[in-house]
Amino acid sequence: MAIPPIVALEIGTSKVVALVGEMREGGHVMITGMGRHPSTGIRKGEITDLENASVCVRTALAEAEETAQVSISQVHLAVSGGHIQSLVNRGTVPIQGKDGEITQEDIDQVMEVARAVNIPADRDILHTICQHFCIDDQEMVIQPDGMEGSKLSLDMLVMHGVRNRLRNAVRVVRNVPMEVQDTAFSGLCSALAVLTPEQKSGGVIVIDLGGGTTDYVAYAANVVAAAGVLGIGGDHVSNDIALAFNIPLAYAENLKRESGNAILDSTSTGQKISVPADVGFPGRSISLRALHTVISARVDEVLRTIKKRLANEDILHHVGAGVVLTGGGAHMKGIVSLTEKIFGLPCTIGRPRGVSGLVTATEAPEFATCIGMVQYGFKYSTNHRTSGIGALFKKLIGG
Amino acid sequence: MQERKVSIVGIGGGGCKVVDWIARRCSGGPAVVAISTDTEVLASSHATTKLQIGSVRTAGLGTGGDINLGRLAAEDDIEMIRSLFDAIDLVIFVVALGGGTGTGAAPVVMKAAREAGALTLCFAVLPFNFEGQQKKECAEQGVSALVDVSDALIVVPNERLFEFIGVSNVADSFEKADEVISDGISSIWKLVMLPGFISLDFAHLQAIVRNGGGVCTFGYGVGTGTGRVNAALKSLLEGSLLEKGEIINSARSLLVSIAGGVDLTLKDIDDIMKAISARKQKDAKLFMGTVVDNEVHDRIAITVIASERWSSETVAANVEVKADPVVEVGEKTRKSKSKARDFQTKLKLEPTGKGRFKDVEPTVLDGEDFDIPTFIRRGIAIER
Repeated sequence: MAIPPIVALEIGTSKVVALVGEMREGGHVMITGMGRHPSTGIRKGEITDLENASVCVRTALAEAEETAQVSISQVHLAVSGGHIQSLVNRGTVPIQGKDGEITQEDIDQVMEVARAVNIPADRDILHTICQHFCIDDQEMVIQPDGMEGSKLSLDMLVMHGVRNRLRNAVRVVRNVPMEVQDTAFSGLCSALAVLTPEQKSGGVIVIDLGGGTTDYVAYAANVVAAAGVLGIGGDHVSNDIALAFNIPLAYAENLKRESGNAILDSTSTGQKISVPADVGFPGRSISLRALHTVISARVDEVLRTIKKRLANEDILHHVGAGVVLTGGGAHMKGIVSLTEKIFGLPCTIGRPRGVSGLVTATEAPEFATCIGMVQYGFKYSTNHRTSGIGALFKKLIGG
Repeated sequence: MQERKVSIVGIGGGGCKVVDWIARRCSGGPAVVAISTDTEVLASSHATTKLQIGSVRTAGLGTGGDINLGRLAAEDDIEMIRSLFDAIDLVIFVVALGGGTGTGAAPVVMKAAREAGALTLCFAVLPFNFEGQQKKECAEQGVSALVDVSDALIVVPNERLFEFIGVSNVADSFEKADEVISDGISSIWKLVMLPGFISLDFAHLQAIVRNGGGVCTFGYGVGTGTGRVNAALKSLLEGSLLEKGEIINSARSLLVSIAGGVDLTLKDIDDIMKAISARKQKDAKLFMGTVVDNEVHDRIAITVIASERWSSETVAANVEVKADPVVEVGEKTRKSKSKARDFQTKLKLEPTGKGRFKDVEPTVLDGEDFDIPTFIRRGIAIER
């Protein structure tokens, strides 16, 4: 039986994107349909207006259906939001077998124990991701099956978010109406779309610079070592510009896109940009250098905040392959230089790998999240509907 | 004409060296003040007034390039600093940016001068490229901090003084650079205090600076012997200080000071002004004054302060009236202007400036509201 197409949906702060992916011969994924719509009713990655957001989603899905020539009945939903957090929990079990040999039973048991964390009552677990096993004193064990010892431990990265907010995203989709097959953290999706196996084993940080949030995922020695979200995004950059120069938001957004630069260099000295007059606004001339100063301050702050968080979890030493940037913010001039300067690591723009089809979708960093969602929909889904949040990623071991 | 009190103040090691030149060459001139944390710098200075700041904090040593330390040193002795500016009309500051005292203490000192009601001009010297990237960045930060507390900030990149320095050794290079800068500064204060046949009185200078001002560029040209006018013009208009004259093309207002000896003729002045006028924009403002020094022979120096802005306000219109009323108008507008600036600063910091995040739950990390623009929370001055 032919594998049904997978539809990935991302309800972002600046845009809603739906991608239809189909599996071709030889296990190759092709993007056959795309729908998108500018977002309204979403701020910092979270739903503030259900009706408006639903309209955007409906339009995007309709366009995706149209371009792919398929009928969509359910979607895989990528979620984000500043409320999403992660922690690492270590679970330990004594090894049952009489000769100390580790069986699948032991592994299942330790996973269950590692998953059992205390999180606040208003929160739900979004993902539980296995990191490394540990047998007695031996750390960094990848496959404990068949090995010998007296106790087995497992480090589990648990991602969780506020229940209501996670459910709100699902509600928007149900309101379309459309069924949600599964949900996943958008940062993880982006990472999976753009990273190579070499990067994952060498250690890499993926930073998704979105309109409402900045998601980050760090890999070290082939496992997801850390993941998180900052409720700060491209919207903050535009807002800073609007407030600094007293200009309408729409113009600030344009200035950011057309003349923005994340670093201050000599090319901006003495130059001016004029913002045209409009209703209720007399027009202004702005120093390019001042514009770049405002932008640079904000972007610098976001990157340094992420760096600080990763340093606190002792990740930075294990990241050799550098930093990969995705999301709309990756288009900003100078962002690669600034990132390299702050992290002291090589930096590249991440582009989706391993998919073909609609070129606009498959090559731009802002579609990495959706494409990642499609890829893993195929990798981990079964023919019948899986339910529950995070089902797709439960057994994810960094692959 | 009412006597105006002018002070020339050097802050930090580099600044003190420059004002030292002025003190040595212009005895009987304006009050020269040297401010530093380093007792050695002060000991060797010829300034009329020397002020050691941060004595407890730095134990009489330099700040070692620590901007924060420089700032704290100034804040420690803010009362002493304030007393320097009692009843002073014009303060010309000289700061070498990139170090600790210059970059850190200067904004504090200049703010005090402003608050005392003085017109503040600041010559900020930027380090040579060979002094390294860190100094450069530190200097750039310094410029941003100084723009807000000075009526005019005249930036002088040492790098552009190479054509005056020639092939000298390192010590001489710095000496020569200091000489050029001090000569330029002297041409400005002398305009007000030692007028030649075309004077530029204080009120005029005040108006020019207040309406122009902001970040200005320093131009300098010197010539000696026969053909000195052409030589001076050449070094001024083809030099890198004014980017081969480009700065004049794009300036909105220009202040020109022509300094020479008793042999300075009207024709010399005319030739010079014609050459500069030819390069400037049609509607850009051009102000000029001359300085005649009896001790000088066979030498002409042209100093240009070019500003990229000019906002016409009523202050300019009142300048031609006689002394007293001018003082009144000057003071009133000066006070209201500084009030306006203070008000502006206060507005910047109010938390109601959240724009699109007004009605959204704030992103608070470690007790800090990240919805408030970063440049505000980090106190970064923006060139408007």
